[in-house]
Amino acid sequence: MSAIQKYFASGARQIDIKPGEYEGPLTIGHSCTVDGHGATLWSKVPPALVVKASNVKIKNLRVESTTQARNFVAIDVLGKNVFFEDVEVYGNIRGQGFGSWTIPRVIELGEFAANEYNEFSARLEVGESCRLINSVHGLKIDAQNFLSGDFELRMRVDSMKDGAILYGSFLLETFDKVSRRIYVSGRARQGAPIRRLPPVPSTVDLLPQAKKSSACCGQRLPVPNADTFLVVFKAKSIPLGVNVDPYVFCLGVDNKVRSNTDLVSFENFAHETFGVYLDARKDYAVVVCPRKLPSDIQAVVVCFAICDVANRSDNNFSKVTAPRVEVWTDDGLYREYGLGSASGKLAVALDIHKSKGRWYLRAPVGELPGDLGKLCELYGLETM
Amino acid sequence: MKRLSSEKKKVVLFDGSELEYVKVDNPPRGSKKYVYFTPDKKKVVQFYINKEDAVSARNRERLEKILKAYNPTIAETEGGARGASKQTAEYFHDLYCWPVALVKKPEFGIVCPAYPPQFLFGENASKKSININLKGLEKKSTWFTSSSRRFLSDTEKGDLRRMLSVSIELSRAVRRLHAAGLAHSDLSCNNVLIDPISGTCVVIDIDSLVVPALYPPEVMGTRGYIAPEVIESMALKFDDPARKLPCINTDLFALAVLIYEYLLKRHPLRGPKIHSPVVEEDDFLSNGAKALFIENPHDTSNRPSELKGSIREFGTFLEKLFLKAFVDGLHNPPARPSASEWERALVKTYDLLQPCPNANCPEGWFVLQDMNRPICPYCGRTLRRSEVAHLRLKQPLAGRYGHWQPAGEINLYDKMPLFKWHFIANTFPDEKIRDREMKAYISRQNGEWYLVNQNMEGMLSPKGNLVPKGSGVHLKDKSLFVSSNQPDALLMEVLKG
Repeated sequence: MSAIQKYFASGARQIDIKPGEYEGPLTIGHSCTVDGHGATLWSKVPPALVVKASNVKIKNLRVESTTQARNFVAIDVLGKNVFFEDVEVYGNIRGQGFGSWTIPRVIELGEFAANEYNEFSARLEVGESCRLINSVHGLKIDAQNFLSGDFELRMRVDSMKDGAILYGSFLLETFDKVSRRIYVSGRARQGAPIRRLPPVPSTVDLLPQAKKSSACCGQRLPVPNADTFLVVFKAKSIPLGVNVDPYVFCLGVDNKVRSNTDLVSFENFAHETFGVYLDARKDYAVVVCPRKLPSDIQAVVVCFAICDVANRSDNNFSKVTAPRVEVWTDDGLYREYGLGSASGKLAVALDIHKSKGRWYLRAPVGELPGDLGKLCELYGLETM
Repeated sequence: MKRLSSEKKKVVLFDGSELEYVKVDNPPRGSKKYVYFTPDKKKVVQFYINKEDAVSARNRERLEKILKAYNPTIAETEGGARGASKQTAEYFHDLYCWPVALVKKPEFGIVCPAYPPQFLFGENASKKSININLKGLEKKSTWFTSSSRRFLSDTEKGDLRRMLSVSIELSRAVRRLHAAGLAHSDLSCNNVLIDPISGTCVVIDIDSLVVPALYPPEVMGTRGYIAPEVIESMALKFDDPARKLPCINTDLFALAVLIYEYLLKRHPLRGPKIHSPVVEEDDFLSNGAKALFIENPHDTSNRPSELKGSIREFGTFLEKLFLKAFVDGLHNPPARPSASEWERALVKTYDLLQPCPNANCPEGWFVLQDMNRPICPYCGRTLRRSEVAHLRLKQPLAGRYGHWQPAGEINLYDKMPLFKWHFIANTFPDEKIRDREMKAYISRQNGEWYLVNQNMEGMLSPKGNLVPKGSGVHLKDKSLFVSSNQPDALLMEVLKG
């Protein structure tokens, strides 16, 4: 029996592991809460952790296998109601609700031009929706949030002096608070080539390809059995100087927000539960995950508003050619619909609401209230 | 022939306790005191030759302070020096022979620990062909740094690594004194005993410590170690403002001389240049106003014609400090490197040591800073490029995560031990570090280099994987990796020859 396995021999409901490194594998065979206090569990042969029991919570633990194999399973979840909190894993988690990840441990940037900014890309296969936590100074990554699937991660390294080394890591953290660490390593050198990437392709090329189907505005549809939706505003063309900003209202039983934090926008890019958040890519996109939302949130209204730098009254949706909304799930494009010709500055693109315990999705028909301020008042927000 | 007699006697200490000692007819004596041992030979009782020194109230007051308030070998909580913890007190206990008590009766005296046995020659210390019995003699550094060295057996002489270790300990001991505002005032080969076998030293004659501006010095120093400005102003009256007395800056001159002697086996100022046909005057000028470093790059008039070895052999850290001490600071005391600077440079140089593969090399080690020239300066042996590797260390740049600044470089050799300070930033192998356990070591197998984890938690490989204890990391040329997942972990860059 390994040293760490002995912690579990007593069958206690609360198990605290002293900080340190422990060789597994570890099998959790009874319902309990395990607090690793920052300990590391590792094994030569994966998986390092097997959760056979149900109703288990694991927190503050780092789990990895030292195998050189690819796509290995670090944690095997066989029970139900197994939750993680602040767990860092290297490898996959096998079990219901967990997807397959193929991510590099280290992104080697190699040598790049000194005194210039440089751009790089890396392909990731992300198993579940997650957000990126990056604090590497001078490293900018184009996306903050990801749906599951294949992605090209685009990175920009700010200008660095000759000989300077960049070595740090960022985390991909799922909503279950399971994180995966990716290291980035490179060196600036005078005379090395300047690295640049071609322009970003459109969102539809990046998302998983699937069948498309259309919907009419106003149509009410039951929400499919999908975990997450991506709501994307698209247009054939948008004039220069005009931006389209997403605003998402999370409404309670009285059809009003509970607090200002129930409005998700560029000032508050994610709901505290991560049930709604903005995707930071150029194509204007919002991610909605209804199961993450608190039970007293009854509706989610997704809007897109014209943000006009010059504040000209004639800059409205009529200047945007062929505006439309696409709704994507993990299985691909779920619905798409045009917004018709509009002359306002605000378009309600979608609302998801709960009725008798079930979520429904509605594509609104030409509802374009005068302005964002009025809509905020309608939904109970204080405006200046 | 009269038989030497001895009898046991007792002294009464100021704390009221009694201590037995063995009174002999002809006790050992220094310039100011004569010495008796306790029966177990663990302590010595010293009485003043000049009774005026014994009755001087000022002297007693100074010694009481040395015993307690200035004493770094006693924790501050127990009445010792400010800032002394139990741990650091224990560490410095071995670096000094610090007085432990004052004698009240029959006359004023001092009780000190006896010199630890490693600082006295044992059996067979001299060469078999030389009929000298060194047993029991103190290991003053002149035995190892002057022509007397030829009398010693090879096992006594130590090697470069041990002498660097001695230098580190000495600079640390002096640094601690200076940090408390004290000056030794008589640092010399007589007052620092060294043991090249263990690489340790002990500072003695602590009772002549000076508190500048409070308790002035009573001795001017020992010839060869007295700072030039003190010699220059020796003719002036004691209270003349132009008179330069021993102080921290003069300690720094003596420290630099001692370190130079330990590493180069010669005095830094004794060269062929003659300043006066009168011997005493020449001596006065050569060590005073006209003192000139024998390796002065700008003035070679005092350079011996056959100069074996030079400060360049010790790498840039030490070369820079020797020039600072003996060129910039020779006649400009404030420019001299501090004891702390010496300590840090010596530690960095220690990390660049390379064992010489020549079993007959007189020094056994050399400083390998330039990987393109892996040549032992003591025997001329050249290493193959494949035998040479360095780890360049970098520490995190504050406020800019992912960016790094240089933190040193270490030379690798087979079985080289690595410690916490090689993995974690802002840790230094001084008296304060608690964790002195070996964390990892370097292993060279079949021409390849490996870093083997002995006891380091969170060690990472270049691929970011955990390296558990007992496992190793293959060190490939130019690979870059964070040594550990602990905060403030150093970044390591592998450089192969």
